Amino acid sequence: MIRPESYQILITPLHKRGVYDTPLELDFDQSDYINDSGVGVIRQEVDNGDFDFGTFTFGNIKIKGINVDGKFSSINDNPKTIFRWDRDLAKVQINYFDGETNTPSVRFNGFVNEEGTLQDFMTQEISFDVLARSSIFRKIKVTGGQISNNILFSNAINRLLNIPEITSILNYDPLNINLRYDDFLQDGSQFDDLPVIEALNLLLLASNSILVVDTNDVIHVRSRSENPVAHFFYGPGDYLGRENILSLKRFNDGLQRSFNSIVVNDAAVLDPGWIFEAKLRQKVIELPFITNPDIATNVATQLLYSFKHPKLETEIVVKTKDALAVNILDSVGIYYPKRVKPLRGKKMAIYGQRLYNDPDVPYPFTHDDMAIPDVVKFKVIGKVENLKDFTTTLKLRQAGERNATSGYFGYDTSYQLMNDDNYETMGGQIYQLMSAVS
Amino acid sequence: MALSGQVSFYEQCKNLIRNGASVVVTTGTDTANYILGTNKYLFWESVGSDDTITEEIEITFPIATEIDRIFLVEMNFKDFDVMYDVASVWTHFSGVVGLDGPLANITETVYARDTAYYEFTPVTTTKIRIRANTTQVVDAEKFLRQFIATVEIGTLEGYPDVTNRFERNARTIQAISGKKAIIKSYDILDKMAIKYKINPYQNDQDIVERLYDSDKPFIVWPCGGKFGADDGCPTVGTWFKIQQKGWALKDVFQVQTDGDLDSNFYNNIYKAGTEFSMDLAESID
Repeated sequence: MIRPESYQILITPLHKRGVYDTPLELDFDQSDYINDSGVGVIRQEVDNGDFDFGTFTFGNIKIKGINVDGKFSSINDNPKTIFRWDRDLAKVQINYFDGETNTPSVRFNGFVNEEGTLQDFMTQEISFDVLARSSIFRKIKVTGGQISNNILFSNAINRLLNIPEITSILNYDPLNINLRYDDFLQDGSQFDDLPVIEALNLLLLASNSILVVDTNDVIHVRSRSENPVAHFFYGPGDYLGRENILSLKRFNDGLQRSFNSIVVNDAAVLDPGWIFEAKLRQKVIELPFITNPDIATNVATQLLYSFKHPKLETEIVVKTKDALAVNILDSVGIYYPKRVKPLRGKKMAIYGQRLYNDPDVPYPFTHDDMAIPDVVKFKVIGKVENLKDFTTTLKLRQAGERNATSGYFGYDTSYQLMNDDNYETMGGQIYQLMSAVS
Repeated sequence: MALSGQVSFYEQCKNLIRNGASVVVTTGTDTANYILGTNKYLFWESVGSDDTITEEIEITFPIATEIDRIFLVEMNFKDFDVMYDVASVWTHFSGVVGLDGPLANITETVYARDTAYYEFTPVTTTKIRIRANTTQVVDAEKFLRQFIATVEIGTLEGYPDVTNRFERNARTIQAISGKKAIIKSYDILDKMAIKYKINPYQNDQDIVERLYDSDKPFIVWPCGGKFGADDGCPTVGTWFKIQQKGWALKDVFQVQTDGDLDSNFYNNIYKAGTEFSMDLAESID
């Protein structure tokens, strides 16, 4: 029998210090004891909010357990608890079943953070903070001398990540370190005693790269370039009824995340053309480990390439089933034409099928204020998976960098963005619909 | 099951373009894919056709598929036939029952309705071909809104209370003047409530429970093949006094169950039949 679409929450407690119970799925499936209104969202993002660029976030989640029988209590509070050693660092895995096979998809791996555990005596519920495994970066500091002087950024990142505290939890391979820009740092002592996460953020910024931990706990350090694999989503006006976008929101031109002047330490680079277009938008970054002004200039130049052009941004809400195969930085196309409706009893006017002024095909009604053609190439910069309603929000930014004509499928500069009533695209071919009569 | 005119249910269309089906037409290539979609407002239409020209529509399923029902929804064909592929040979369907009763195969010469429906002995095939020769209005361009090939889930034997509610997905915004901006959108079947006060048929109970269990959308045809209206004195051959939205032959909806299934025995008397209600709503997938 196929398990219906559902989530499964597995908790693997510690058997003794550092040793986990052997996971047997039926024994550790706690789904029946987790309040469905007490499960947060699984969030994964590569930038800091809407108004900045950053490096990565693999969010933590909260879960609320039904604790009427003391199942999730501390060992000191109730002998019936499943936590026979300690709640802290118990493993939590969230799986998703799509309702078509019995093979689960792992959506989240983390561990319980006892600091965030709260118990409600009235409702007999207990809420846990569950940290993503990547949050280990917050719990370790850089030791003195760990980062030497005059080494490459990639070398420094390797020294930060390739330590037992991290490799015992996450999967690390130096071959997965592929920086967008690599150069030499001068003063490694600037990293001493910093939390590893801060040190990583600085190095990732300097190298114009991001860090992603996938659902197999493999660390990837890479550029922001989009993956070639493309997924397509369709709006309600799709002519072929392929609608799978439940909602589209926060569409904007991306100006808030564009910077046409970057200052790294004292080295400033700017793009006069974009300053003229968009007025000065400057970001100042301090990277104390770089003392060579030429390297500072190169770092600033690389960041300017990536962020001087405003790129369209939007969020789409889709069924989690449809977003399962979509990963961070995958390419996404959105076909969101205006909804058109012929006059009652009349046919649609289609370019190439009918003549102008044919009385049988007057111009249709059109709804919606604008459309998005499928030639615009977006990339996924964030995923927010809602466990309660089986939907996922994909945060998208137009792909491409360096120039205004990248960021389109086929890289054909003849396509134009859809802010003009007269042009739509269907399968890559431009059709001219009759102008709307509303 | 013979065409009885009760509310009928079918599996999701087997030839949707979103699931990998494809179509080739003689003319009107730009609009051919609409036949495989679910947009109610878009039609395939021939280009430069008349009653001396046969338009062929060849539909390919994503995989070899078993079917036992087909719909041609909103079309103007008068003289046409439909065949299926057997090892690259176009073959007539057998055991055919249409809206007017049994037929030797799916071949019409004087068809006059806007929607056609046929039941037949189940076949497994990868291709279907439609040949449209003439139109109901002489020498008109041929058109077809949607072709549906499917398998029947079941037809109700009883006559439950059916309540349809359509909506235009309207958004109402009050402006500063106090007037309202009412922004209408696509017309959808927002709710089809099926309620049995006392259901005496195991068949109907089984159908409803199967629909409730279904994780995929399915098709509902409220009229079940009933047609004809006469607001005077309904004559033989007409089923309705007044034709209304939701009950026409062309009103075929892709729906899913929306909400709970109330399932009880009438007055708790186990021998008295079941009492249940179920809501359906038009769904995207």
